[in-house]
Amino acid sequence: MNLFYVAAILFALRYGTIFGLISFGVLLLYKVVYTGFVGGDIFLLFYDTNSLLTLFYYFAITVIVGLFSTSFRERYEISQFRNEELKDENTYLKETVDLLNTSQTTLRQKLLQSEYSLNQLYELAVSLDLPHPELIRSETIRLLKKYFLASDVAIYHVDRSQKSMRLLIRQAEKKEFPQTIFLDEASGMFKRFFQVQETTLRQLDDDDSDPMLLAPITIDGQTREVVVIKRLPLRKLTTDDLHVLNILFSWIGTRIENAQTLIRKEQHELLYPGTSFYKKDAFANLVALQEQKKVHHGQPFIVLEYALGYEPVSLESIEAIVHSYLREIDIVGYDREENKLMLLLPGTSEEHRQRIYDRIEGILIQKGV
Amino acid sequence: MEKRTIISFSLFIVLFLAIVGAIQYLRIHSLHTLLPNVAEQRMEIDQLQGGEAAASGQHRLQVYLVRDDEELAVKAADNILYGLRYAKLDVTEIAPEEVGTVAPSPYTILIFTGERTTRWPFAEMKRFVEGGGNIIFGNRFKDPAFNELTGVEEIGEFVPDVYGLNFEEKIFPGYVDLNPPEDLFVHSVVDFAIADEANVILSAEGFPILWEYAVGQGNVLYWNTTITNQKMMRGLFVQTLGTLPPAFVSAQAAIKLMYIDDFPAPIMSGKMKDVSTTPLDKSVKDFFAEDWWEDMVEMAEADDLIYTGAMIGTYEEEMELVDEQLIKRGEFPMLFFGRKLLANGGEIGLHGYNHQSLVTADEPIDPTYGYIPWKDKEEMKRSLLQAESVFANYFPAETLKSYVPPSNALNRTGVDAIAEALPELRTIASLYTGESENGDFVQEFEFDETHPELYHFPRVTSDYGESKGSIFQMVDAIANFGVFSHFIHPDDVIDPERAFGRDWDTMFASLRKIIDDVNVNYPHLQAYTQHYATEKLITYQAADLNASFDENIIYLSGEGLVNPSHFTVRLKTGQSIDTGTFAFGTVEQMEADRPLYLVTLTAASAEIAIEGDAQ
Repeated sequence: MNLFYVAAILFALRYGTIFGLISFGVLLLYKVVYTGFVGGDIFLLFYDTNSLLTLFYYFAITVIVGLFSTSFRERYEISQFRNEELKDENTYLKETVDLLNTSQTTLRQKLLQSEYSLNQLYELAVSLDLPHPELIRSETIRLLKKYFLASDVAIYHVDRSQKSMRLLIRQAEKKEFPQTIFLDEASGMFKRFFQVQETTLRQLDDDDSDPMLLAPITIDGQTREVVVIKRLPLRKLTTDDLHVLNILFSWIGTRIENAQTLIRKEQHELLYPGTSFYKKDAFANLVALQEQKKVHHGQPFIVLEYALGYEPVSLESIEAIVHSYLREIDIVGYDREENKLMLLLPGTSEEHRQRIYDRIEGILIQKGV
Repeated sequence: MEKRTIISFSLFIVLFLAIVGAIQYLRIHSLHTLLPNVAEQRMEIDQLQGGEAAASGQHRLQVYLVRDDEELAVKAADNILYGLRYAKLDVTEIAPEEVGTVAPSPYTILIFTGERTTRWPFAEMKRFVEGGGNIIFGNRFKDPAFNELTGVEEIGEFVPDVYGLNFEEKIFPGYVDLNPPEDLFVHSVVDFAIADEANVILSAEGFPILWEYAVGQGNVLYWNTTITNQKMMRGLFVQTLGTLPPAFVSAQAAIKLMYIDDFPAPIMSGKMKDVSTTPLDKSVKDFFAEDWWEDMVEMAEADDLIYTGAMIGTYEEEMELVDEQLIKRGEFPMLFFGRKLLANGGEIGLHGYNHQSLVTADEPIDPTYGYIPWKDKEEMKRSLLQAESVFANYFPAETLKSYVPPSNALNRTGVDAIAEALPELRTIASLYTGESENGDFVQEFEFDETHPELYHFPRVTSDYGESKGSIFQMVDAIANFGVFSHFIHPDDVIDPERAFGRDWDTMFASLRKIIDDVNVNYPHLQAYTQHYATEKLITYQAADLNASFDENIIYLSGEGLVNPSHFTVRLKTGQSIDTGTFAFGTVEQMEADRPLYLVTLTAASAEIAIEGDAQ
């Protein structure tokens, strides 16, 4: 067998039909040129049946071998393609399995978290089951710090006109929370909060000095207090945490309302009938309590005492006069023995004492008390 | 199998079939016109230059021929003359009366043909031989007066029909003994008793045919036969003549020529096993294309042969086919065999429009051929032109330069028609030996007497070696002047009678043996096409050879000698010349009982030293 044709067949075998035919064509051309070059008869290459059959024989072998090679390569390519597809599918399945595992883990965590949340709720419920609003507020701040990693937390009381908020309790530096926030002068976040009166988070366009979260404490269907949290690691909190947080805020109002009701029931004996004036001993307890807040939370207070010149005809009338000039958080006591009116003003600094005393005294004189 | 592969495979099958169809159509119809054939081989016939001033010796071979007008003498003399001249030996014819003027010398030979001894000057002849001259008696005769010259001691009766020829010594390589019933030679001898001193060289059926006999200082060769008038012993005559002088040189044209008659020609239909003794189950056409031709090409390449074909247009007897029909019939043989013949360096000659010999009703031809005589020369010319048109259609760039008569029968009308119709044709190659009275066109190697541009270059032998006589003729022509011209008929293989019942393998082996023997015995023969063989032989014959001798030196030179030139050199027993390669050429020893050498001259002259003394 001519080595040149072997080369063509090998080309066909290696590179497929097209290259095999090209190499066959080149070799045929070479044979024709060589035949002409050595003085042979080119015509006889094609006329001599043996020569022609030899050419066709090698042509056919080249084609068949080329087709075999091409077919084999195609099958190889298809197998390779299938292999790649399977690899892709495998990768996809692996990712899916990973995702499933992740989902499973997440679900497990969710489940655990939800169990955790229930426990948390239970704990919160238990913790907030306190008999006094002040205790509830203090416990609220503790819970916020403990479970929600909040810091710089304060609770403000909203006056009935909803134009100002007065600090009830805080857990932060003094400068972080002013005693009084006038809503007309407050930032947009506070205004937005009071428009919706729902838990409000600081937005991107809010001031950096704005708190991270404002949450309403609803009492008797009105927002009576506001929880202000300056720092809250929202990224660390899950949705469930936030959900629990909202429940907490809802509960606080209910708890305070219940506590107030309970207090009112308990304080019924402590108050003069038909008034909100505390009897002497009860008033003293409240002052003591305020004293503790001052110690623990640095919250100032003052106590003002007014000796009445006569036995009052009706404590209810005095109460009607006095309360219109006092804040809602202010507490009034009456010492029947000494015929003395006592005022406990939480959140009021000592420096304002004289000015407030004078103003109240003036009013009492003016009203003929 | 993928769909894409199936589609590709289908497309390739369609493409393949389309290509096959296109090539098939083209190869049959017009491809050969777009792809011309390989041009016929050109061969240079060089000549040795500058031999005019070469040195020469004191002695030259002097050959004189004496004959009378008796038929045997004339024919023998003519025959011998041809033989000697082919070997480039100068011969001078003299009358018997002039014999006395010839000085005796070892290099001088007197040849007498015929039987009329009474006209021969015995005394001068005796003095000539005894003085150191040489005499050859070319025919047997009865004359006791000559016994002392011939070595005959007792003369018996004439004995006709003595067959064969046996060599008592090896004169020239390749000769074979011929024994009855081999009838190449049929002698008429005289039942002689010859002297013991006579050295018999040839014999037949126990009769001495040729012997040498020393007389005084000279020698006599006596041919006790009548066969010296026959061509197939010219070489033997020359080579035996060479035993007489102290040293002898004869020229060799050194031509090897192989003819394939009826080739290219239309091929008969049928299967080989049905029409021949070759048991092949394939068509005759396929056999010739695949087996016969391949064997022939292989032999040509291995044994240095060049083929000359002789094309035929049709085997139909009547000239009824017009050009196109003739061309159509010749399509396969001309395109396949013709182009292959040329591509292998061969020549396409002309055999004829058909296989009808160019002979008119008035001219002799063997009636067993059953040929229809041609009406006249013009009809012959038309047929030749039609055949030429077929040739020109397939080989427009070539010309027909050689003609081979169908059945080797031709006559003057045919020669005239050839010369007139095909003026570029150079050679007519018929037979060297044959029966002229039966229409055989028997030729000598010479120009035509009427058309000097035409050269006669007869084929010497034929067939596939079935005859020893044929081998003898072949060797004799080579011994004479180094021409091997053999022809075969491809269709012998499909004719059990002509194949002598042999299959192709046997026939080819026999043919191969002939060619192998020729290559072994005569490696100096060079292969030619007919045209260039003619050119070489013409150059050979036109050249002048100067061969002269001193006692121990042979001087060779010449004018117009072909290059290389070949010579046989014969010495006396006990003498030799160095063999090998020399400045003038090469010297090789040939296989013979007496010293015989082949000298190849590639220079214009040579001086060859003879060593040793004659015994």
